Amino acid sequence: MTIRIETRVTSVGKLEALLRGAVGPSVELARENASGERGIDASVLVALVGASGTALGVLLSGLLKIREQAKAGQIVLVGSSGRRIEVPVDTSPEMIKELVKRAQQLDVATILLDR
Amino acid sequence: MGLTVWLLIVGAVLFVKVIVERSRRRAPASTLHETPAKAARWIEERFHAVPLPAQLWSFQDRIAAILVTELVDGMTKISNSYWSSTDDHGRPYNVGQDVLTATGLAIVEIGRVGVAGGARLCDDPHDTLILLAEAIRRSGNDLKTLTPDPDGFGIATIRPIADKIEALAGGRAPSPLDGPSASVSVAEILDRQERALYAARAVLPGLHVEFAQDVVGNAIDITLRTVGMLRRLLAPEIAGVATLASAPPGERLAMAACRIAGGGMVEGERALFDTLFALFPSPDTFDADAIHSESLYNTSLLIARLPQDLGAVDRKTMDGLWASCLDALGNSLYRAFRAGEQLAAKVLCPLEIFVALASDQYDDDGEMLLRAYACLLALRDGLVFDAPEAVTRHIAKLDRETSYLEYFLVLDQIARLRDEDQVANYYRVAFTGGDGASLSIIKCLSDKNENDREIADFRGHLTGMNEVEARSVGIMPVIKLTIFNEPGGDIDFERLKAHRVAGSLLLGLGRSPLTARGRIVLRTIGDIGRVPFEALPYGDHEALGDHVAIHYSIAPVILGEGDRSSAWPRSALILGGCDFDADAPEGTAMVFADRPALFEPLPGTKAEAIAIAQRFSLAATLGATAAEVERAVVDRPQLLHFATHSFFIDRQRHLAEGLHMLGTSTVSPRRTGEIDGAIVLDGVNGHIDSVAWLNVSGVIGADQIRGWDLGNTALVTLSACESGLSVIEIEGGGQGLREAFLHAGARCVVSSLWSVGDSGVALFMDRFYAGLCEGLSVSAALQAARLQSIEDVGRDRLAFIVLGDDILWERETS
Repeated sequence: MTIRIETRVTSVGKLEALLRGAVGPSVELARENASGERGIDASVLVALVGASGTALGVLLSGLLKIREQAKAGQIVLVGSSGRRIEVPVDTSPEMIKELVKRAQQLDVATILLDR
Repeated sequence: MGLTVWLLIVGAVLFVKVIVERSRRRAPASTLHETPAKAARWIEERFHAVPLPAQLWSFQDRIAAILVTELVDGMTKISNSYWSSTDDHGRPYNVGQDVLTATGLAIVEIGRVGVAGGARLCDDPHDTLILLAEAIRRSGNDLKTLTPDPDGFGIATIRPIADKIEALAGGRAPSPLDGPSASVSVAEILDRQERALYAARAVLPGLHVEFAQDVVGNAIDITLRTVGMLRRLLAPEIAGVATLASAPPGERLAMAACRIAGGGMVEGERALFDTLFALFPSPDTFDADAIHSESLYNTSLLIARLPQDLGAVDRKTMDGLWASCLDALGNSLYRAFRAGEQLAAKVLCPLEIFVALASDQYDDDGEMLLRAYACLLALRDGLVFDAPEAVTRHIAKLDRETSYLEYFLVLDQIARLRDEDQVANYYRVAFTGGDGASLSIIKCLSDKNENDREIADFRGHLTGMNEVEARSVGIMPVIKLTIFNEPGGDIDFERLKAHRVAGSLLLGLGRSPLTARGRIVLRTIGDIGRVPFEALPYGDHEALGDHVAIHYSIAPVILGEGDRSSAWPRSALILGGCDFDADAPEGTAMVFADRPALFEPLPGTKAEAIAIAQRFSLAATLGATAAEVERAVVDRPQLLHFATHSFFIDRQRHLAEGLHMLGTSTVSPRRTGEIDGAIVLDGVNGHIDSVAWLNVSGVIGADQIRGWDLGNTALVTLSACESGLSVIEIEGGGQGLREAFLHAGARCVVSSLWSVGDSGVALFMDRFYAGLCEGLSVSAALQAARLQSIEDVGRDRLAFIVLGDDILWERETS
């Protein structure tokens, strides 16, 4: 399953670096449309996660972990139908399993990091 | 000779008398004018030292007339006791001092505009006039510090000068072909004598003694009216008169031109021409050995043809043509005098005569000058003599929208012929156009024998296209390329057309063996400025820019190329490695496609900045906020290098084409403070509270840069994306980053025409600076870097162009 991680708070490059540090090798991260140019960049970070939900859990944990560094006030899960769920700021590690379950139900396609 | 000496003596006596008379009334020692004579000298020195901005050359006569009117007024008052009284302290005082001081201030302001970037402020002569008028009005504030001006005569002098200069912007520029009856105020004030002086200065060293006497006599008349202003001018001519008695016959033609130019044409003066024609009854019997130059020979031939050509028109037309051509002669000589180019004077005079005869209307200087140029080409081609109607046909095809600039190029080209070594290594390609519509290319080669065949072939190739006119001129092959732009035409189509035609042309140039050691100077106006000429194909895998140094000029004064050298940089801001995600002061972020424009890290910029700084034994600046950069430029660094992101929003084009930029509706006409293009710095990604384009933090836009003082900065390198793009808001002017840096005083800006990759550009820039440090000019260093970067940098090597002076750094020998 491919999930787009859209950021409105920090550069994709910085987000990728932070997230890689937080999730380790268990989640495969890639950048799409990266131009590597010295101008406006339309690149997007993409996470490849399995259907079991383990990697998705790691990804969500990682995002919560870097939330402050990435200056993200909101983390929003956007489903393939367009439905949105905001990840509570105070989501504890114990609640991640529940969050993964809801994300799977939502068929999450995009995770949005916003102010 | 006797007459000259006599007149000089009379002049000197009168002058001394006036000075002695005035010296009796001493002005306060604290003013500039301890004596009237000192005041006159003060003004005289400034009047002659004033560097008129190049844009105003066509207005030179009128501006001079305005100033001389005031000078004469001041000197009249100062010599008249009616205007004398005492000041508040009871000291002798004359209001003429105030008038002279005010006029002097105005002259100083003209000089300031000319020296301090008038040429860079705007291309348009009318805009420059308005700028100048404003500067003169402002100078009125300084008046009180220089002269008491108790009666307000000083300030009452400043304002009319400014008003009159501004009023010049309301009409068309004076054409050298304006007839004597044209309402040019200079004619009323200086009349014929002034022209005579200029003419004399230009050609006197080669003139016959009798004629020289006449000219000098006229000049002395002016001397009496303008108090010693001309003494300095006349001294060398008077000294040279004694050697002129044995001048060869050919010189007498120049003498005739001078005479007519100086006196204006009247019925009786045609006799002089008749006399001269008698010297050269036909071109066949003309003794070429007796003349000094080929150009003079052509002059003679042309003048010999005049009666025949005139026979084809009616009397009224003929009179008008004569009057026009005579005035044109005067202007030519005047300009030649200013340029110190006697050769140019001798070549241009007959051309303008011919132009006056061949054409009966002149819309503006540019057209006239282009016509003159066409005649020059045709004349040297041998087209004129046997088929004058062919020339007329050629002229009719010329682009009417050509600007003044081409004229200066012509002068410059001719001037350069004197230095054949220089010409031998020089290519010059100049593009000019009104409304971005025309494109002219002038190529300068040295060895006509070597290149004639190639040029002929090339011309044949080009003339196969109806947009192109190409001709060659003796040792100066000239190609004019015109792209016609229909109002409301498709800009992309025009660009493609420009690209195609220019490509053909430049590829043609590329076949010359001189290309490898040549340099191309481009001047682009309007949308043509976005055509990446460097990227024109050259061979299978290479581009023109790989093999030829290309340099974009911003004004003809720069095409003239004065001193290109620049001191080795000891101070610099070499910026790279910015942290775009850093915390930044509150501000507003930019939004693209309804999401924030976030700028990605650029690791290559850090390495680039460090490597470049090491070449100069300076420290790189690794990351800086907009405020920090603003503080750094206060120290006026000699080198500015920005390795970072930049962007350009072609708002105008998107609006014109009805497009929504990147899918958003945020594109709107530019408002004050709004950003079209900017350099991106630390913290740009920090704030996204609004979706506006105003007051973006973490960037520096063109408006801010325009306010900097970069008078000490030789080179600005914008090693970033699209940093060379700009909005064409006014004809001939861009409003982008590169124009902003030039406006701020930087001599040269290297910028990019498209988005460039981070790592490749770092490599390219290192090679570019290596070339600079080896003593190459900026354009040559770019070319050398391109050639090295074909494989590993790819197309981005062609994105960088150089605009402004093509400087050379001088390494200190110690």
